[in-house]
Amino acid sequence: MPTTTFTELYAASYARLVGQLTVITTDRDAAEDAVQEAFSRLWRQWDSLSGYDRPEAWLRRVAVNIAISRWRRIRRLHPLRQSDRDAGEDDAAGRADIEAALRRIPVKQRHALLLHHVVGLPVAEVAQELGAAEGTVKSWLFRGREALQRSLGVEEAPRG
Amino acid sequence: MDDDRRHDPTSRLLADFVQQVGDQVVTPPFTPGRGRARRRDRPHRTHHRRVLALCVSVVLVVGAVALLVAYGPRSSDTGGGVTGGGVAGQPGVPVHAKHVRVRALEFGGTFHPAEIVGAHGVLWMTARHGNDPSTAPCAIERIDPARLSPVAYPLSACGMNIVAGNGALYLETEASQPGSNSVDIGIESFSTTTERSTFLSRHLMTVVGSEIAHTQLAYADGWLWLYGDTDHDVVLQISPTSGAVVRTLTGVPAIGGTEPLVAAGPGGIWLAGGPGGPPAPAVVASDPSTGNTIQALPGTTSATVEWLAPVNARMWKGEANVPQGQHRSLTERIVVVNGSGAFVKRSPVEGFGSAPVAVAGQLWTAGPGGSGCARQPIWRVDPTTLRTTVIATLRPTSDPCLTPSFRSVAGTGGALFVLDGAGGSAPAVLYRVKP
Repeated sequence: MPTTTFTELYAASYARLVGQLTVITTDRDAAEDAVQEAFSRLWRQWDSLSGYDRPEAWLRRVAVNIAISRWRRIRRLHPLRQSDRDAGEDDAAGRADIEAALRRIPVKQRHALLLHHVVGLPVAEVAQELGAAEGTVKSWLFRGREALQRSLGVEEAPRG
Repeated sequence: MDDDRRHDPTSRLLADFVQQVGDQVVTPPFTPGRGRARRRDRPHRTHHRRVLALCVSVVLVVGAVALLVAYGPRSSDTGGGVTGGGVAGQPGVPVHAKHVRVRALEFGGTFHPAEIVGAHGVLWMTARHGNDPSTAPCAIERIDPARLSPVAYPLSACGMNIVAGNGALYLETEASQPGSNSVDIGIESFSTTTERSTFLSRHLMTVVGSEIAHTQLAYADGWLWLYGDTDHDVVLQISPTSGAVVRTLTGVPAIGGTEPLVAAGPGGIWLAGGPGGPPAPAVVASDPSTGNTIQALPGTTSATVEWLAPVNARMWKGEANVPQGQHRSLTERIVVVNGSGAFVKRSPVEGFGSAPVAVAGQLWTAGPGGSGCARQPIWRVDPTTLRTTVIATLRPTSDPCLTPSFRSVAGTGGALFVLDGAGGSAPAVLYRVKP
């Protein structure tokens, strides 16, 4: 059975990671699949990875890769229709709108938005994580924010 | 998160969204070695319907397998068997068909089909023979369109994005380089005459972001065209005989999306973002004769391009649009443009499928379109009015909105072929639809 530390990590971060992955997949099922697969991989390598300062960051990165890989390899259908079906069943107000808005921006921009605006990484660390130049990340963030705000009618905060 | 970001509306919006989703997640118990536990904590009727559907499916699949084992014809090469003519409503059996004949070939066990393509009157399918994607060998299956009988030919590596041309089939293989963002994209060819596969060439691509290459392959005008969604998007013009790169096209606009579309069309190679791509369809044409003319074509609407299909020297685009804040108001149209990208005509707002194929100058599509997730229509598109008509409705092997489904279609031998359920947990089914 998993060690206490692994179990604690799993219990503490599973739901949060699913929420974060949903920003990228816009589909909770796909996010859960990816997060569970990432935990399975972590468990198999727990001896060597348990000493990581930020195992959750490792999990997030692996889960994102799994989700994107699966997207490409199995060619998921455009999940817009899932929201159509789910809306009204159990989606909280506005969630489906956000999912729809996220779907309309490229995956790289979603990834950058997640890392910067949700995980809270500064631009330099986002750039490092994504293997891109800081200017590129700033551009992704700007375009992603703009597209989200345009879709959802959110006003940009004053920047000083 | 620092204080500035906490007050930023985008941060608040996304953080609330993540919190909301996370609050609804019930963490399943972790059991090492069992793989991923299937979970879904949604209560209400949906859950009960799914449990009931799962039970019924299990019973039907077990029954079908038992019948197959006892009586059904099978191919020793693939482990598949013909299941056409079963109980109505069972996976693999049309629930409704108008003016067409539908037959199904169901695959089970350790046989996992991936993609199909039509060439020289024969249907070709890539498939994995084994459950473990990292170790199981892959093959190309030659499927007789009349008898639906498959014969397997081994491949040196598992591939994807299969295309046909020049008397051969081509597909991509991928190998990530550990510790870097570099991915080796291999091109493998399979001669449809000698029925042998050859590894053609390897192309190193640097992939930013996910460490997963975002690529697509097309065959047009005697050349292979490999699109790479790298830091600076690129198209490689590749010799189909030697695999050598003849020309590298840079300055390609980033087309984004989860599934880049590359299609050989009038005037060259057309690129678009595909589902999940940016709202403005960045359609690009290059000139295969000179190889270095790239022309960005204006989108005719602000909608995302769902698919591209060259029909009768024109490009047909499936476009979807979601108006602001109205997630129920997905609108879909088919838009036809000429080789210069100029608008020719568009369909009324209507539903159409997710995957197109042109058969004898006529366009067919498959997939749920705007019709919801319960069933999978096959649509025929009127070439004059662009109106769509459902000519058959198939019951999918699993929920098509949650699993890959009907994304691989092909036309050959006067029939339309649809591969359903590739990559999913339920057995995949190959449908043949004959007008």
